[in-house]
Amino acid sequence: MESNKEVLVQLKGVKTYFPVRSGFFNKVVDHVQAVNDVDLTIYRGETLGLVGESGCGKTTLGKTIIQLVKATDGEINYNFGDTVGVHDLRHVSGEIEDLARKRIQIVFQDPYSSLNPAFTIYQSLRDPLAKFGVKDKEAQRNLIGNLLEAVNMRREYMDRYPHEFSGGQRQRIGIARALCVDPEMVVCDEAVSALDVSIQAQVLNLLKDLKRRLKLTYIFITHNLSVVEYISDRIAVMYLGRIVELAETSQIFDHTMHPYTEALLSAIPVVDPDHKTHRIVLEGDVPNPINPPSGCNFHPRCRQCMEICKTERPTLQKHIVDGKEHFTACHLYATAETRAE
Amino acid sequence: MDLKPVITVDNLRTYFYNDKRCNKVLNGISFKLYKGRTLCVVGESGCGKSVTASSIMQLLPVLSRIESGSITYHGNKNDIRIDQLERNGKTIRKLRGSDMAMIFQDPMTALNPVYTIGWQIMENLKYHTTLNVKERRKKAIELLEQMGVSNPAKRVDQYPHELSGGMRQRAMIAMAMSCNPKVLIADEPTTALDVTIQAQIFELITKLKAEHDTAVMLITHDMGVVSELADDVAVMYMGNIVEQGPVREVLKNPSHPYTSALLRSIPVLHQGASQDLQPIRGVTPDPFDRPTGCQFGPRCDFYTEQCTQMPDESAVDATHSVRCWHADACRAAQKPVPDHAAGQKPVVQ
Repeated sequence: MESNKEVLVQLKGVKTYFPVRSGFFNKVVDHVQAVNDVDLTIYRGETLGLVGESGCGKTTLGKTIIQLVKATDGEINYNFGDTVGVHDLRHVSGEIEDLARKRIQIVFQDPYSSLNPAFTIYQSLRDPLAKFGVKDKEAQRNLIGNLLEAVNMRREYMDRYPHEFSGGQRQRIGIARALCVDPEMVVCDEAVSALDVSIQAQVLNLLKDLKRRLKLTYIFITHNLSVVEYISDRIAVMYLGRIVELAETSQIFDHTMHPYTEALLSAIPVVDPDHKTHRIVLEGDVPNPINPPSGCNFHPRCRQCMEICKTERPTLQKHIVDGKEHFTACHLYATAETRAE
Repeated sequence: MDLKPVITVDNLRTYFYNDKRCNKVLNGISFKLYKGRTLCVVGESGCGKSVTASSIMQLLPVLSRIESGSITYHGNKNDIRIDQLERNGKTIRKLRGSDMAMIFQDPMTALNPVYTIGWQIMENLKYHTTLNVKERRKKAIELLEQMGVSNPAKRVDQYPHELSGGMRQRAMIAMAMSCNPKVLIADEPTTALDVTIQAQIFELITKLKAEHDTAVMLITHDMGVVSELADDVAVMYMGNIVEQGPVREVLKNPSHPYTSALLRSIPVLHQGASQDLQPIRGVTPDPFDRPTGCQFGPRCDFYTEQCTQMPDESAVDATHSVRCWHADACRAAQKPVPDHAAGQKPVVQ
């Protein structure tokens, strides 16, 4: 990554824990460590893919960034530009909080449950516009019409109800809703996972196109690595609340470092009858995030587990592979600064 | 060919009825399941994949009917016409679970939450074998062990909610495999699971298939799964099998515009951001308001007048068949891509 890229969001040691309550007085007995000590930098204009299995905390991290879930600890510094400056999203209020809401938007996974069935599309999209200054009805309708056209839908559709649309159309409405306040960054939480493959391509291409036209920054959360490879500039692989590997997309695929990423990549069926993968089948299941394993989270399932992995937790280290930055949290690369390729 | 068919489906039509309307869910499909081979049925949601499976298993909803066509099970002694059996009659109940078994998509809803895993496996053995209680329990533990469930002696007394998704799916496969069925129908067995767990389950199904020479019918919407697991593939669209044949043939040499469009619309791993995804235009039609003739017509690049008539199945070669008037044109349009003129787009007039 070139150094002249402007940092948009910087996460420092972000932790999001959910309390586990039990007993008569609902005492907090433990915590689910959904996101644990995540350091992450997101540059302006890039698409960051966040991948991992279910329960690894990728959605929670996305929601933590947009403040739908409050982080337990850490800093989320958002760069609002020269006039407003950099603020920690965890401690903003008033005008800056409003601004943050306007700058960061989210597209949800399930297009069926994320739109209010009792509201027409116009009614659903009206409120955010009114909140951010467009109060005149004609102006609102005009704007919403333009947005619908931007997501390849007809202007007239704004007076219809969600049940009249197919899944792909609803997802596009979800995207239009996210875009209606003119955001800088959009968090796409499994935005194409619920769609059929033929529709998935439509939405993916739309997202790519919108990014180019509106200069958006995406955080693309998904479990589908083929999709993330198609759309992302950089990929962060998460396992049990922590980022285990972070690098440019081609780096992740060509010079995989972490054994978990390796296993994840080899587990994906590839559409090519000639393709023969050497499949690494992981033993067992993802451990319970309430009580993660000691040392490296991945060590009980890792085939290259060493003694040190059981006791000491590896941190995300910067390596230079093939001339590019490549972060990984693994003891295998603790000694060697670079890996000979 | 010395392949032995276990199930022959011939021109099957299954219709669903509601509110005086009729949904022609399956509109004349024919295929065969062979011993020791995997047939993958692939298609988008609503295309009739699962209905095909439930037609074979006689698990159709009440307001539905097999209108015409036949499903024949080639048993050890004689052939049984499944479509003519009484619903939930003695014969089908005897076949179900022992000769034909099914794995469902969501193991949490398919397993009964109020009985232990062991109880549910043993129930199957109780009706289909002559084992006594002790032997059944032993067999259940054995089965769980074969499926790679850790600590099977303990798991056998656990309830579904105590197991993880992958473990539940294994328990369900144990149930299905308990009587060594000849046919195993898996309806999206890994859609609810993570890829690393999916890899485990697939390894298991492949192993079981090889050991017991089972005929497997795997329903999926993931082309990647198809290319990894299938011997044969049937592509379905709106109640028809539009193309079927050996997996290499169909994926390398798709002859139906839908198959080739589908293949062009999915991102392929290891091809990076430069790949050219071409979405299929339009949406799948409403099943109550179908286009006349070829169902894919309105979304197809090769559409002509002729397409208002439903084409018959035509053979591409001995094993590969397709339902399209323009199969040759479709094949010709993509030929150049993989070979010499890489990067050049297929010419579509």
